[in-house]
Amino acid sequence: MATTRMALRMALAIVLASAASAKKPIPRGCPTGTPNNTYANPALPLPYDGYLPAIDNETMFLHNTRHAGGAVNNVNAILARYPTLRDSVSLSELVSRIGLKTFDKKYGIAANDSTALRSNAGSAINHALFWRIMTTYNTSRPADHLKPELAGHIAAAWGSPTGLLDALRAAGASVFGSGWAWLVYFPDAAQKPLAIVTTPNQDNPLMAAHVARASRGVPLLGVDVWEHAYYLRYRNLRTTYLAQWVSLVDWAMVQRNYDLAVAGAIDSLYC
Amino acid sequence: MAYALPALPYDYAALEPHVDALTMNIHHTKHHQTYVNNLNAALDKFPELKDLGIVDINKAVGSDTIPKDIAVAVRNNGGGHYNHSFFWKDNPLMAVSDDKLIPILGLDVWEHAYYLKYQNRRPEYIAAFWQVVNWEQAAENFAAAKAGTVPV
Repeated sequence: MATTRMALRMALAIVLASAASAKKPIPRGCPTGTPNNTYANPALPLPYDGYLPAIDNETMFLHNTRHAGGAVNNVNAILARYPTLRDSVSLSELVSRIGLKTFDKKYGIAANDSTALRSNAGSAINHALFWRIMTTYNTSRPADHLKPELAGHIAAAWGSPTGLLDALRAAGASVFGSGWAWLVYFPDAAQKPLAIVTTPNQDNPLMAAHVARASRGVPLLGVDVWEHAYYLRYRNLRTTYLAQWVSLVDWAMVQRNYDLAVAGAIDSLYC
Repeated sequence: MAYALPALPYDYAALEPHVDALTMNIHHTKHHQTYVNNLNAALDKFPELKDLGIVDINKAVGSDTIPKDIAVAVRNNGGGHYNHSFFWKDNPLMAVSDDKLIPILGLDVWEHAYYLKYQNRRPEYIAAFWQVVNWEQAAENFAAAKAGTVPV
């Protein structure tokens, strides 16, 4: 009798143990998909020279492999020391909440690691979006891709997609030092759901701890104005880079990002 | 008197191979020149501030001396002008700075200072920088700082 009960208990224990160890898929979004729940550096959708004449191939190579790739490596190295954080939280949720006292405390994130994640996870997510919203020079026309709702919001705020791009260029030019200019969607602002905002360094508009409330939203489109994004070809002439860069905007992706943002599917923005 | 771009004490190629001549040229004639131009433009409406001098205008950043509507421009461009003038020779001055200290030696780590030659490899640039530091100037700066004056 005793051995049967023990055997049953053991069998039950084994069943429970294997259920617990079966990895629950986490809402990791992209970049994703490598062993040990690490992030992969997303490749560019086009070859390195596919962004000419706006951006040269050497810049795209360095930007993708060294700058963005370096950030992804750093994220993985830090998250290796925080396995629960790594396995429970997607990249966009991490970026949204890093630096919030409650979040850092919940996962036991040391102050210097919180700062390092702000920079490196921010960089990883910023560049993941950046690669996705660019396509071949002068091939994407807004009229072919923007649906009436989004086109209407753009018209209301900037008159036209060209007006939007002009405002984005001005915002990019206005950033002192390193940073980004963004088109963001505000989920709670039914009347004026779109705006152009800038962030310093590698901050992302999702970051609740680091971005002012008025600028906080879901990025749909962004442009990198760190000097590494343009220096080899444009030197100090950031405005010339921006004037060329606007011809790379992939309006199909802008529409797609808007649809995902409206649906609250933030993680999918980066896939 | 308007602020002016100081001449470099050496040729653009003088720091090769550690810092390349093209970078020195662009850094001086474009980046630093732009700070000077933007500073003067910001001060056009307040000409008396053009006579303050580069040290005092930096010290005034964060104080009431600088009118609110040009405060950011003066911080960014006055700071850029001082930092680069100092850097060529070999901004802790500002009231907004947490540590009010006197700079003795400075290293520009903006990407424009090293990207053409070093790309993302900033540590390599920093290692090379030690080959071009003007220690005589640093010693002079230290002596001035000890005496309570700001090197420029």
